[in-house]
Amino acid sequence: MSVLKRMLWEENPVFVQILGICSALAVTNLVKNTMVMGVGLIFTTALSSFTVSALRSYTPRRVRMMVQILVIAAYVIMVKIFLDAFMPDISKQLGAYVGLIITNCIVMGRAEGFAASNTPGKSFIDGLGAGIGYTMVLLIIACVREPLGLGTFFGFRIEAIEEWTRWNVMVIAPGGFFMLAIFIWVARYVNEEIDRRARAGNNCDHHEPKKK
Amino acid sequence: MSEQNQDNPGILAKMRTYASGHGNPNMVRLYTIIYVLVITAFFGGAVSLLNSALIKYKLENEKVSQQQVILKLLGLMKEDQDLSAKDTASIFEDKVETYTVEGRRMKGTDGKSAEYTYYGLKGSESGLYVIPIWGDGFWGLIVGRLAIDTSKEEITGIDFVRHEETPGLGGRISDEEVRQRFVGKSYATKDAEGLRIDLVAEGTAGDSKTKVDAITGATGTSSGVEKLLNAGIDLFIEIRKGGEK
Repeated sequence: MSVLKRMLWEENPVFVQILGICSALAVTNLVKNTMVMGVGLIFTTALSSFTVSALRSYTPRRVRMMVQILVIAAYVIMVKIFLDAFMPDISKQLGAYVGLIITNCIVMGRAEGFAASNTPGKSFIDGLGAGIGYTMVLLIIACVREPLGLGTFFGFRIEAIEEWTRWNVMVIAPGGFFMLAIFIWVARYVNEEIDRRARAGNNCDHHEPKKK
Repeated sequence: MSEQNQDNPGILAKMRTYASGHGNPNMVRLYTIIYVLVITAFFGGAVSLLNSALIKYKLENEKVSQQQVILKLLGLMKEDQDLSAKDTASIFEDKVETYTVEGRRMKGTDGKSAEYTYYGLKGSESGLYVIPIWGDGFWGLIVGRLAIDTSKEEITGIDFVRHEETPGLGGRISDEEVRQRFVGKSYATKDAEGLRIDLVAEGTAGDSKTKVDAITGATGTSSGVEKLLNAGIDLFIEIRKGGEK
């Protein structure tokens, strides 16, 4: 579905819309934590977008955003309860960041920006896409940070780089900043290259420029 | 959704009108209030239900986690070691002696008052004990476990199992590096101010056997910890002297 595809690249919440940055920096020093955070966010964004959309005609206009926060908070608390019960170690490691999903701009952004004026089915896909787009970016960053910073991947030591001196900066917040900035830089460059070639291609072919 | 389980289509249409702000202003206000109450009750109820269904797993995890804290402080388990709930329970059963002191109270890990309990190694005269320490921090109650070697009158470990201190500042008492600062310190004598262990400005403790580097920027937390640490040790010594085992 094009709604999904759009959220993965062209309107990717992290490197295009620059949303959800705090958690992107905080959890990406470990791949495992990133995955759990990603799943939590996908779950929350997809379901809260679906719910907000389903209720959109009946929610009083003036309390629209309060209701969105209520719905988002409810789903996030469910994620926390689930983690506390079945994954207590990860819950402790993620600490406050699970609760902070409520404040993650992506969730509220999709709820107000899309779900409030679209059908439940589409909103669910949109939320799903936003969550997957976010998780994709975070996983790529984590796959660089964890091996370089801790010498492990998903908790397992990597034999090949045993001798490599750990880059401690990758474990702490500044490492996250740098990695994210590099990612945005590369992604934007790739995007512009694609656009530039598309435009150049159109000029040479003397065809009508394709409408998006 | 519960709001849509109505048979009369007229009501749904009316709800949509009020939702968009049109119609009788009083009805719009009334609808808004009722809607917010209903939806809060619905989602609040759903979350509460899930919580009650899963709470037993959380409590079980808490119990295992606490046992592991004690095992680590007694040297029966390594910091990074991964132990299953069953293994934790069986090691605890076999190797840890639990002592409760009637007539003495302490604050448990849940923050509530409980019977004074401390732990030692079964069948060993090593003098290694894990005692409870608690007191007010900067924001709220701090509850900790102190591991001491009574034969050397030294601290061998510390863990803070409950606190509400500022993350990054007072919250650093949970950090491995900060906890290490207490290891090897002697509580044998009281200084002029009646302190066995003195928390001093970060960096000034040096090689002192009784001074511990506090946390810069967390003065409230540090002085709270100093108080509760000394009080906890004093209390334990008093209990042991009185033979209240």
